[in-house]
Amino acid sequence: MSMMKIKFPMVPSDYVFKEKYFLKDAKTQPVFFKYKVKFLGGYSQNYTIKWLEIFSRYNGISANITHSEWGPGHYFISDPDIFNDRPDLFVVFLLPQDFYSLSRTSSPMEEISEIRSNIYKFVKECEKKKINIVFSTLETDLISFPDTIKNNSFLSFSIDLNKTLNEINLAYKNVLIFSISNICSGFEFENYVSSRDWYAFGNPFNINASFLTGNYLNNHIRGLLGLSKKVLVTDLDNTLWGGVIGDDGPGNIKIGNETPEGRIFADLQMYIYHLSKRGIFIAISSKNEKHLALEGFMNENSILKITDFANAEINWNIKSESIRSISKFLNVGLESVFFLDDNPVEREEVNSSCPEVLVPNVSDDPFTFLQALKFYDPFCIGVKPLEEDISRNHSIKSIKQQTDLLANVKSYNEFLKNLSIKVTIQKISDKNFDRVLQLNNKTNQFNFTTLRLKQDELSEIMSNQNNLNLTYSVSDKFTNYGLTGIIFLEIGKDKIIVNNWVMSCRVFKKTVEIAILNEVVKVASNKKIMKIHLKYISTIKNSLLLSFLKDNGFQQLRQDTNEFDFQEWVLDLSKKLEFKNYVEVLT
Amino acid sequence: MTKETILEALTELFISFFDEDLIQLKRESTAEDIPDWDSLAQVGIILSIEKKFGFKLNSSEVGKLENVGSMVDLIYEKKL
Repeated sequence: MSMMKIKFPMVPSDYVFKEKYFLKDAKTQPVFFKYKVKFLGGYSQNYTIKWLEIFSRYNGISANITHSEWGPGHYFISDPDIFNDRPDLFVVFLLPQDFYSLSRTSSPMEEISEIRSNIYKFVKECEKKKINIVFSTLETDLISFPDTIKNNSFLSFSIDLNKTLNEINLAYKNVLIFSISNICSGFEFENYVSSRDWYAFGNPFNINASFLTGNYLNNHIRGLLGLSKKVLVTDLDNTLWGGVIGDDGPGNIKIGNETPEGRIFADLQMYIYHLSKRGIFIAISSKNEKHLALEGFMNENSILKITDFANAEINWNIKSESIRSISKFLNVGLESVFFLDDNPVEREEVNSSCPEVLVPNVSDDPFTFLQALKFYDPFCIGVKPLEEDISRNHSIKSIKQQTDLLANVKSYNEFLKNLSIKVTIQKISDKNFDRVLQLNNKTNQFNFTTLRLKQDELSEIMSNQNNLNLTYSVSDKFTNYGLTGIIFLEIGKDKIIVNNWVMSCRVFKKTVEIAILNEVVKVASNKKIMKIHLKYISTIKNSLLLSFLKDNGFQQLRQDTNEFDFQEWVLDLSKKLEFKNYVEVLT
Repeated sequence: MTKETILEALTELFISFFDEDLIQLKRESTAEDIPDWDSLAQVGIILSIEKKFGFKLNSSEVGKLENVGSMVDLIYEKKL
């Protein structure tokens, strides 16, 4: 997937006037997803919409964006017609301008309790309909009217309403609040609101802010579609700390409050630390002597410790090779890797030999690393992490323990036996709904169809009486991996159809899939069904499934390569089959 | 800057803005002569003029820009 070429430090005005060029360029990219967005309020948001369209197109998303009429956001949320042509996402703008009154006798600010209750109603309706929402918070006011109605200030009013928005943000998983001033800060341009742009064009914030807001919304949509990156690979010298540890010595690297540079590196390390807490794999690719490089993490000001990293390639290999080996070790595709390095030569080498990896074009000012993280938001931090994400941290450590265990046993089967793998099967329900959606949409390798689901589509699958939709959670003696598998079964009269089957790469190679297949066979036998059909759409990334099918006795029934490589496979249960596994299944 | 050189510079700006090499501007050119020149593009053109010529227009000046000729005249005045 090719990205828009951005140079950091990022100056939005270098891009905003080339919108037509970028739109044409983006439209040459292939489309993998369709997404419907509806803007409510915000007056003239044409530029935000344009840029959202451009950024999402660069990410393989064709966004169909509509906009309410001119007016305040809180006015539209109580209009039942907004649900016609159901969008996947509402973007609701609440702006100071919404409360500029044209009346001498009343002010919309008086209606705060009604607005509040309308917001709650709207959010509940969206939750029911499984629609996501982002709300802008109320921010910088151009005028600051002296309010005589409640003898109150606009600032006080906006804090009051923002408090409501935050309550909703914390209570509802489908809600995100955003701040336009936060989106804009850290980038190079003057004030993001201008009276001229408002009065002459109806733009409540300027074209640079629209550019960044479009980008921000695209990042959130990527997250909702499960397109966030999974691994941050970072260089060390002049990337995680200032200076070259081999030349300057571990005591002299710049990290911490003593120097301006050191403060930036400390913030970067803190950012990365928080990513790792959210279950993002962090890894090192550095050309260094290992023992020296490790001393960098012993510096008392270093926030990151070497144990935070899932993998460290500290050697003299070329970086693209290191990144490939990290991706292999963590069982994560290269397209899920974000790579940070201050050295343009190294970046170019990785760019050209692993074009799937996202490599920001940063400068030698370390703040640009933070800027690139903010702009690309590779890990989609607007999407709330699930329990599975947070607990993933532990399994990073256990990867190492497992590798050690594997080194000490005679055979792989013996290793599996020693692992005490347990699988718990449960039906898909509202309780695990979000995780099921995330797993289905993020998984590329063990995913038979890689058909992404939107919330309403999953609800529909769940409501079909003929379907048996199961999840499974996996644990072994080192790790509880949580919910890491889903299988969608359709029970027919004489056959069971596996409509899709998805499993996280973290539980590969443990014979879990064989145990699950065995369970499906049991379901069939109980109903005296003799055939299991399975749908398979072959892609570059899920080709490992072909050998799984063949090894377990499936036969290809038909193939249709019209639109994509669709195949139907069948398992004939009248033959004697054996599904050898090392898993204890609990239901 | 003469009005002729301003017109040339504006033509360049339009070519880059619309990503379209064949644009030839005259003083009489209006939004009707360029298919992509809608109200959104009008905002973009004004902001691009401000960036290129280094001044800021106020709300009432923005309202006066009906054709290329009026843009040339306003830029000429501002750069005097």
